[in-house]
Amino acid sequence: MPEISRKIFISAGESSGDIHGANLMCCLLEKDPNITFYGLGRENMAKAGLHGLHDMSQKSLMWLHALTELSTFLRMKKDCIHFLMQERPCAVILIDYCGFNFYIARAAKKLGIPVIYYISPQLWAHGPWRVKKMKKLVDKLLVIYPFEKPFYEKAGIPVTYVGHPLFDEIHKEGVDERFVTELKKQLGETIVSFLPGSRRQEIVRLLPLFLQSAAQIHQTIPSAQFLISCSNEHHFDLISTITKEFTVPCKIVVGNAHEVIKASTLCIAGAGTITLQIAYYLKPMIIAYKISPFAYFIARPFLTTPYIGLVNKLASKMIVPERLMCRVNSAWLVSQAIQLLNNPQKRQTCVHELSLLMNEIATQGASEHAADEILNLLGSKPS
Amino acid sequence: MLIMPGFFYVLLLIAFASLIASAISYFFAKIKLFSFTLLLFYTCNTFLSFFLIHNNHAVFFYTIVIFLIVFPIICLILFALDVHYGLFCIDTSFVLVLVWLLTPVLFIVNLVSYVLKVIHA
Repeated sequence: MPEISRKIFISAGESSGDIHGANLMCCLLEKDPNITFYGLGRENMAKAGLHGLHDMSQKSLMWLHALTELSTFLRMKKDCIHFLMQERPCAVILIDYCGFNFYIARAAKKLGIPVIYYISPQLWAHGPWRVKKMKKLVDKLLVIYPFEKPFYEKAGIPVTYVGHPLFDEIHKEGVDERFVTELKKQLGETIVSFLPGSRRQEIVRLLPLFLQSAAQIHQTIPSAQFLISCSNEHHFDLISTITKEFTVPCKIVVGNAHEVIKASTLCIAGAGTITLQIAYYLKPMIIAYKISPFAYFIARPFLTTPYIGLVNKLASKMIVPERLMCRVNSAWLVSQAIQLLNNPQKRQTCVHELSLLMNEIATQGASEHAADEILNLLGSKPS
Repeated sequence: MLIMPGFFYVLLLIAFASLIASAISYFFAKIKLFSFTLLLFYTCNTFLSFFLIHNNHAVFFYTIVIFLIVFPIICLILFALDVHYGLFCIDTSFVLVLVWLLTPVLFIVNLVSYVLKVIHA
């Protein structure tokens, strides 16, 4: 008797979610080839076999910027809910992106479809009251940081810690050592790399700050050379335009973030998952994040963690310098960078703390564990 | 309606001080103090508006009361309920807090009304 195909709805809005979603889909398909995936994702998930309802590339927006794309989001929401009503998939898997995914979860819950949330939004960092909504909407939560488990358990949500899929990704992709050597050969031994993030707004806000600091770092340490990591080729023109406004020469590398990090002496990054990637390669880093004074004023009461950087939050102490800025404060960035470049002891302490953290959390198999949990929930035994 | 100038100035002063205090208490997430100062701000401004506008422009008075007092208070109550009970099951209910930004408009309306009244007197 032929096995019945099972439909799963999966939704990931951001590019990182797309990568992790694709890995999860591959693991699920390995264990149960009869699954068909429908939903929202980008190129990686499409390659893994997703039947996309909408193209999610160019749709990673934050805060009030999302309002400018409101009509698109409403249309997407309508189409997804229509799909859930018509096709009744056996589960809904949501990956981060809670601004949109909560709507999908609510619709799925009303229809009695099990909702699995993989990679929880960072409710512990801002807006922890949303945990009550999460409890109402989600049947199973698969978290990627160890400290998230007690946080959600306390709220009574069924939760499993599966590990961070980033480490699977790093292991899978590997590092192109030839490219690393080539970068070092081109730029010398003191390389400072800038990793402003994958979102357009982050690049616009952070890159000018980074480049302003670059000019000052170059004055103090003339041997320092600069690299900019461009996570998405769509942002190359934007980064080039911003770079042209500054006198300091910078090499822009599209993709190859692992190689950029590995070749670097110091990384200066925004506050996201990229900091974990830098920590994996045990590279000293500085975390800087800039928001408008208005956004800071509105958001300030909802910020519950004393750290903006993930590595500091995971270590529960300031192991790398970080600062949330409302105005351009390149002087702080320059002073931290020079200390980390010129002071071997400070560099060593930073690297030692990062290695302790990585020993604790850098385990592989997150997608595999998540797939097992999902199949257990759906009632089929994972192979 | 007649209003004692001294009483008027006291109301104006309290409105101004409570607006600043509410902004500071919001920033430092002192919710009880924020609620109290905001309530004080709304109360003072309602009285001020009443004394300044109600007699000659009743429709305008009720319009600003609905738009700048009733509407923000409803939004803030909804947000507080959402925080406490997870009422709406959406992620973006914090947008309701933005309505709070309407409140300084009430102060400006009263101030402009007062200046116009003084000029015409």
